[in-house]
Amino acid sequence: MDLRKSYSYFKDFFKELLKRDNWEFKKIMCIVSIVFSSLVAIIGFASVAMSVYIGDIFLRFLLGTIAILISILLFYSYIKLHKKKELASLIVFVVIVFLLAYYMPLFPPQYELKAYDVDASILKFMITSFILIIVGILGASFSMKPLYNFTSKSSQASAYYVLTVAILLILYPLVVIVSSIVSNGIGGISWEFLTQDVSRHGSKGGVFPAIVGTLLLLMGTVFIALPLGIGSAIYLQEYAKKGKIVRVIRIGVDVLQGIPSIVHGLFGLAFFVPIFGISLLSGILIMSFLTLPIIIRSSEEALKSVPQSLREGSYAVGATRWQTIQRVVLPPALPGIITGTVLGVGRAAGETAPIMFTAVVFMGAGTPTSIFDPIQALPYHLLELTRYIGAYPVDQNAWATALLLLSIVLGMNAIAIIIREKYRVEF
Amino acid sequence: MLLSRTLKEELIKYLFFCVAAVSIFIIFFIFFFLFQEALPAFQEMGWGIFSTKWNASNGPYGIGAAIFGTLIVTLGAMLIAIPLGILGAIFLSELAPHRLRIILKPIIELLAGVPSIVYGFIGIVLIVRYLQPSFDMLSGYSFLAGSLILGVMALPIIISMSDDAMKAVPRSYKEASLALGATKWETIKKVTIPSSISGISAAVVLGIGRAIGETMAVSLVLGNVMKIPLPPWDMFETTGTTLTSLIVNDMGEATGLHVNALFAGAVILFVIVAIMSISSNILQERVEKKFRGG
Amino acid sequence: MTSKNKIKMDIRNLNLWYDKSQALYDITVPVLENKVTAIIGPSGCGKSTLIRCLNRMNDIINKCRIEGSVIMDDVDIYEKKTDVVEIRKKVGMVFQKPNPFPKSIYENIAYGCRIAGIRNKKKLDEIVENSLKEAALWDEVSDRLDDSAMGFSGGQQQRLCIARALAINPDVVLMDEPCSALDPIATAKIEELIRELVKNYTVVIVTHNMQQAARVSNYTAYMYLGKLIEYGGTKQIFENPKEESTENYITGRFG
Repeated sequence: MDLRKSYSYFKDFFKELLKRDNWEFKKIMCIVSIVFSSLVAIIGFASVAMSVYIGDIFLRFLLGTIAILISILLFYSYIKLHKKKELASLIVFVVIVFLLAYYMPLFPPQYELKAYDVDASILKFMITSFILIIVGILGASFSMKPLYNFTSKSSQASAYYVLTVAILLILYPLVVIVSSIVSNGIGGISWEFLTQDVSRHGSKGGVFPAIVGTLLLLMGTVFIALPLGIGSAIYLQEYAKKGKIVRVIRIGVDVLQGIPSIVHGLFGLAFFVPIFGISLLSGILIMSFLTLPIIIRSSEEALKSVPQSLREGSYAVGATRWQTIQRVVLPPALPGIITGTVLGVGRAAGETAPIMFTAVVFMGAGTPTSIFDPIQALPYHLLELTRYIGAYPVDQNAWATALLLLSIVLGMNAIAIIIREKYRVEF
Repeated sequence: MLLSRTLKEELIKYLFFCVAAVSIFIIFFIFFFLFQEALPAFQEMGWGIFSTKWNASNGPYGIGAAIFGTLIVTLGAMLIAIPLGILGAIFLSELAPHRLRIILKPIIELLAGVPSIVYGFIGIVLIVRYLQPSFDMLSGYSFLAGSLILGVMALPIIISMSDDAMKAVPRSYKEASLALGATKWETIKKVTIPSSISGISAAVVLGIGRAIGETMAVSLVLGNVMKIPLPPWDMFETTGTTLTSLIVNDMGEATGLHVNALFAGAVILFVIVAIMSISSNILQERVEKKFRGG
Repeated sequence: MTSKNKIKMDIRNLNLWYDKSQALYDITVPVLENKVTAIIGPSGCGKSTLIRCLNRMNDIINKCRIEGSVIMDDVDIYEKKTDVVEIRKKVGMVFQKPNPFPKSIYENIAYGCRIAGIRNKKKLDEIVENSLKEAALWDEVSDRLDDSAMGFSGGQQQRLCIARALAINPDVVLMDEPCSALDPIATAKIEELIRELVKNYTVVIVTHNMQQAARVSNYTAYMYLGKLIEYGGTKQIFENPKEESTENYITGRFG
């Protein structure tokens, strides 16, 4: 009696299941499939990050389940569909996933690339996890389609899914870089580290002279680049708005901004070092060339955002152009100019290549007494420590220096962004 | 009184002009001195400067291998940075709700500010140490590591500039498309992206330029051997170098023609990157023209 | 209700907020089929906001909140399960400033059809020709279909935008101050066009130009400060307004 009852219950259940228009069931299946596929992609990603092979059975289970889930969806919605292209691509997908589920575990643990003249091998976990990621993402985006009944909205949903995955992939290195530097570096930051000189190839002592050197370098850079930058921007925006010369200058500024920092460094070596020696002054001049285009660009933007009506109002009461610039145009543009300056200097703070041949030494600079003395600088210090990794026990100090440098540079960038957001004047 | 005032105004104008011309002056100055230092190498080597015959101690100094290395490592970086960067920019400009956007955009700008030496350090302590066992490589120093690092470094600039380009597409275009019954995604695909394609290409070109000129990070993870990595798909081998890392690594101990050859490398870098910057600039101007109509 | 005066869209108790400030207060007004309904009122009275409610264009504005309903063909377009894309296919829109895509004339008009899934080249050609004829633009551009739309005059661009809206065969055409960026001759052409269109379509037009409302519309709604002050036949509103505010506006005492 009981058996028959449960049998008829199952029969009803399957009858209900086999109705293809069963919207609720389809929806649940879609969501299950999307969640499961995303999970598979995440497992694949974790497997890459941790260099672990997830195991034959687990791999078969994951791939097989995706294939089955999508086949069920196929049965429920695609079959009556007239879009043959989509149907075909889906069937191909399911077949491939089934094949992968069968063949992947048979893959040898290590595939030698020696046959191709390459001294490396592809390990099983690399291949399997990449396949998991791709199958997971594709599976999830295919499962979106029945959810919206194959209207244009379903391709929108798949596209949004891929975009979201992309932004997560972009943020991943940021999180890894910042978190590893903070967690490894924080232990090395101490009073001693901040106030003492370098000793024993950087494995002991601190970075005090490098901090001083970097600060001096930045101050000198602002001193030279800021007036030049603002002046150029004022000329480009206020005096000459069109014409060939302006176009040439604009392109020149772009080219200057694009010049690789090592090229700046070589130029300094060829030109400034014979005159000023390896010195703070050479470094300041090179860094000014490097930051100038950034300051010009952002000052121009700041001046551009001051509305024309303000200038006209000033002219109308008899002010000259220079008076107008001084009193009406510059004040509201100031936050923008400061933002650009901080951004430019922030970039200079982190640069190594321009100063490594022109201004810095690894140790022994102390606090320079004149601008013709060489300096120590944080980025160069980090470079030397990086080169010593493995040879001397410098790891702790290297992480700490990286943390210090990163916080100085990102701190300046953050200040610039805050200034921009806070004083953003809406005209 | 009137004369002196107009005179003063004129003087101020010329003063500013001179200041603005400084940038141009600097560029010619840099190019001139680089070229002067590179000239002996060009004279000595002729077209041989592009050959792959290199002997650091007594010549010949053909930097072909480094140029080839630069191309390969940049190509690898762009395979990562272009698709991810454009997808990220679409997310940021069209998809992200306002609240998420005002957090994400500064974070991505911050990412652009991370110094290259920090990327280099991370490249050694994280990426190289990860790749070596994962691919069973000899050392982990490789083009693969260089491309990964460069790809991550080029991402923010591509995202940020493409995002600006897409934000610059007039709202009225998007509204017109939506009002015709297009979904948001169709509008992005058929209106926003085609309208901002010059801006996006400008971003990509600039990103490539940056990647080519990037020095510290790449030089630390490449392994730096002056040899063409053949076969070309061999991203794993521990050999190879780029123009920038060749200069950084050899400059310290180079003498004579070797120095001149390194300067020749810098000249070539300068020219490539200048072409990139100028084409990016032209592409961006096309954007501005397009939206002004006509 | 006779078949002559069938209600096409019925706006009922519509309230709208931008963030915290309310922009529309309890608007209830019908839109009659195959008639021109004009919405007039001084700047900032919410007339553009109201017309954008009719095809849910306000959805894309941040922090915009809407209460009330708009019934079209017995369906509330603000109901949760209503597909906004379907609504916009039925309710076309023409904007204040001509906004053709930076593509060719042909591509501009074919855009909506392609979105709707029409791929057949022959059919597209036919639709493009018919829409351009309907928008009285065919004679001027028939030999330049592949030219960029950005090179044409403002009036031509606006008629192109109308043709683009007609190409997807909507029931209702919304026009948000379609002539405000145009010169008098182009304006006259558009007005003539509107009088033609109303034979096949239902038209809602927002205008700040009272003469224009008087010339083209059958019914007029007068709005002030986000409220609907008066609605009626255009003739009645202009000759014999019931409310003092309406009379003041129409006689030019303010606005």
